[in-house]
Amino acid sequence: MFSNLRFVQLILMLLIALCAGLTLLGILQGPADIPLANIGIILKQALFNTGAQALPNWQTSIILDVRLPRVIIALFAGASLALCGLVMQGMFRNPLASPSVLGVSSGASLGAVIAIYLGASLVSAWAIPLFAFIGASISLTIVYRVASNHGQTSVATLLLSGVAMSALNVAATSLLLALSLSNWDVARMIIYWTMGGLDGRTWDHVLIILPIVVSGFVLLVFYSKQLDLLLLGEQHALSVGVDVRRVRRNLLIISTAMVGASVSVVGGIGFIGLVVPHIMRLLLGPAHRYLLPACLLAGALTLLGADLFINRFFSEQAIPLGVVTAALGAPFFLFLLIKQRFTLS
Amino acid sequence: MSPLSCSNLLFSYDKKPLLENISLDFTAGQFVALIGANGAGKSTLLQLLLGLIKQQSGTVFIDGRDIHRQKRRDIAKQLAFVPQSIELPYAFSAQALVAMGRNPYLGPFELETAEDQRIIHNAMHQTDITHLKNRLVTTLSGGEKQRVIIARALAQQAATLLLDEPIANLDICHQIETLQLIRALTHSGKLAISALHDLNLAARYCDRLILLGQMPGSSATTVVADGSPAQVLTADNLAQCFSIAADIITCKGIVNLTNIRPIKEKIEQDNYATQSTTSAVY
Amino acid sequence: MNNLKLLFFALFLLLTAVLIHLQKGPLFALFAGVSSASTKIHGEAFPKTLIDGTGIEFVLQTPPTRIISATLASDHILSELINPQRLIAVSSYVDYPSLSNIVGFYDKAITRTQGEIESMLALQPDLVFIAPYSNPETVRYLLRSGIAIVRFAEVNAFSDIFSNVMLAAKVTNTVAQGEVVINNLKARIAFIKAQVKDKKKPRVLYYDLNGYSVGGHSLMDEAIQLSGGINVASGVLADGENKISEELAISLQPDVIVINQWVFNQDNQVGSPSAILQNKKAWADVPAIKNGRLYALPGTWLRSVSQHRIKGVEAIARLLHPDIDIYQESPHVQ
Repeated sequence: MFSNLRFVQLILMLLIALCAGLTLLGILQGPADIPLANIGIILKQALFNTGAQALPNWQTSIILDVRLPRVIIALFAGASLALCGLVMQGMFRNPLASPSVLGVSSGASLGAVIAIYLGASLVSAWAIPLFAFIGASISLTIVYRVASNHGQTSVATLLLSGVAMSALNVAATSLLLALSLSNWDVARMIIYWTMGGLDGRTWDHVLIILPIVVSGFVLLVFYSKQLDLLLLGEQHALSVGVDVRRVRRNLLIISTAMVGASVSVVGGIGFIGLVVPHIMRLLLGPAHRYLLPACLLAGALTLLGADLFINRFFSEQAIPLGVVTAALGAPFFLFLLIKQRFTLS
Repeated sequence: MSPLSCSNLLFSYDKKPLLENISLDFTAGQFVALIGANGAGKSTLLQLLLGLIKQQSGTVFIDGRDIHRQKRRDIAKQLAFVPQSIELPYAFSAQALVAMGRNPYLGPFELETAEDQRIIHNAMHQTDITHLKNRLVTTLSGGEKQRVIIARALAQQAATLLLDEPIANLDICHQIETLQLIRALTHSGKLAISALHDLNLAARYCDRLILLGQMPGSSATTVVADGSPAQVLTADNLAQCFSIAADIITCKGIVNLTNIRPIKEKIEQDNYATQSTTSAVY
Repeated sequence: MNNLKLLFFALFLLLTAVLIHLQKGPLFALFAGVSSASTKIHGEAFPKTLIDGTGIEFVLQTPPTRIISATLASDHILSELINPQRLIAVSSYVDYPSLSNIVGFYDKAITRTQGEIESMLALQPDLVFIAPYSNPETVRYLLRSGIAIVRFAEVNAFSDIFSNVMLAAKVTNTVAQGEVVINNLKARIAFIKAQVKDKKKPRVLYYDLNGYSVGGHSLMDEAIQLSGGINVASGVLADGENKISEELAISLQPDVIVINQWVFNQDNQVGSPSAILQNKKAWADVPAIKNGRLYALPGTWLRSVSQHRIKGVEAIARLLHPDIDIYQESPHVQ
């Protein structure tokens, strides 16, 4: 099934179509009632600078400054999470590896909360992403160091230390929240930030996430062969000439940057990094030259889909975005597992 | 210039020396067997010779240059490795796996050229897996997987082939075929070094045996004997390193061990020795 | 044999469950659901009977002199009713500038409580004020210890504030003072209402930068209406505080936007909520932003559920209708 190029192409086409469809839906649909015709005019105006029709400005604002950035951020954040999950699963040769399982997402969250607590987030829009990246790096470094001994990485230890690191990060975040209670406004900011979501995101946020994800993806494409080789195991990879240590280091830096960017813009979201790469691998096989674009697209449309879902049906409740991705992802994942009945090696 | 050699290798794990005083020189066209008891350190030595792990002191030379000063890619063009593990949990096709052997010669985006394809197919033919080329490796038997990995090593076209128990999972017919293949490759100029646990097969196909074991009074492994099968497979060596006694028969110039039996008294004495060296040796 | 043990265990569990359900005895009252209804008080003079929402009654023989105020609301209300010497503890929130309107009012010698049950019991109070949001476990323990508790009603309108003030006054025997406070509030409210009666009502959005606003049946909604404005979120959002998407908020096109000031950033400099909202491109065409009618008010006024709430109402009224007068206070009796 996998070596069938036509099937792969079909799946990729389908993913592109779904992505495009959801993007369109995200632009056309929203709590504010804007007629389709108007949207068309606004988009044409923005792209081609034609037609100075007398449309209410607020409609233009909503389409161009609220919906459009929101959709773009959802796409790229989702893509980033899925790509990182793919890379981690390949590097550590374990289908359970993902940014959230290894403590990287929670580390990024902690970094962002520290930025809010210190007030740095009000000084500069880059404060949260910077702190998030630092938090993610520290977590990953600790987890990796604990699990590696004499150049060998035990995967079981890796996952366990990831769990421990996550617990530590979450505890630290709670601690900061408790400390901040005396300043009610900061406490509220922290609480609502940790719930994640895409409301209120602007083009500034797009500037943070888009370059990192695009460049990350391009770099990863360069590594797609190496990623394939790493799947065989360290010894096999080394013996065919892969500089495993250096490749791992570079891949970890790239994924940490992408996770840091993603978390800092949409908060901590689990499941996409775990489930999407796995589903894609079950459909398309292990070759990264197909998996990389597939995960990019599938992650993008998953997060966008989840966001559209929340906004359509639960717009007034404060439901964290991560809850929806888990609720949608988990059953589908279980279904696939039952079908495949694979055993974790 | 010797394609592979090492001098005064010392390897320890957590301050305990596992391998010491290993100085070896290899020449092209040799088929060398590394023999020794389980846990003696055959795998460790192979990994040291490949530069996969780093020794505490001593040097490994490829073509006269220190292996740890060279890039992995360049090393892979000169040394190919067939590891012991045949775990391949990812659903690549057999051909795709063999094609990975061409990695040292291709850039990140280069596809295999016609010449590469020829080399790949040749490697598959030599290991008799051509009929499996489109099968997913996850569906292959242990022996078939082993041959796929050997084919990959052959596709690397390296001058030196290092193998860690390459016939462990094969049935007898394929065991013989593989050993014949390796011997043929050495006759055409390659150097092959293989860890083998079957002493008779080693004696039959290899012109040089290196026996790894502990010298009396030491807990670390070193080279106990190095030479032709007749020189290495002596009653003393068999008793000291394998705790066995056997009838050593030379027939048509090939050494053969028959009537292999364990030595009881030696077993008790050796138990102390093996207990103290049973820390994980890779 | 094992099956028999299992059977006995199951029967025992069943019995316990039945007892809990019937709430027989004080032990099982511990498991009773905590009602959020406010305390009712019976009796014109002491001894007075307090009836808690769960049905448990207390008899207060004399006006309490060892009072613990474990909620911010009671801290504020009691500050204008009783002699502070009758308080043995106030809530720790009373010192937070971001939440309290009376920072520094209570002497440092009065214990600050976090609502932790053991430390409260150790102070040997004769009356404890709790809130609808007080920890239910704490409340149950107090009930069980036989300490009189007063539970305020949830506050969604000024009438609830009046009820709470009167409840506190009756319990502490300061009814006259309570009436003074309430009448003062009513007068001020009436004063504003009269002035804005015939004025054009601007469309007002209360917005929390975290993406929240308030619908009907809430203090903020009432404050906007009293001030002579229309709450744009009322009818669009459910009652009370709710999430609102940025898009929806913009599409409501309010004429005035009211937000909370952040206590650590009082002036409207860079990083203040006003500056942040002002600079958001998506909001540039909202009438409130275009016409410079984005206002930040102290969070303590807008969040208060005590008599200090009136300051928020007056402030909003003056922002909506800058030409109205300030209420002249006649000095009231302490």
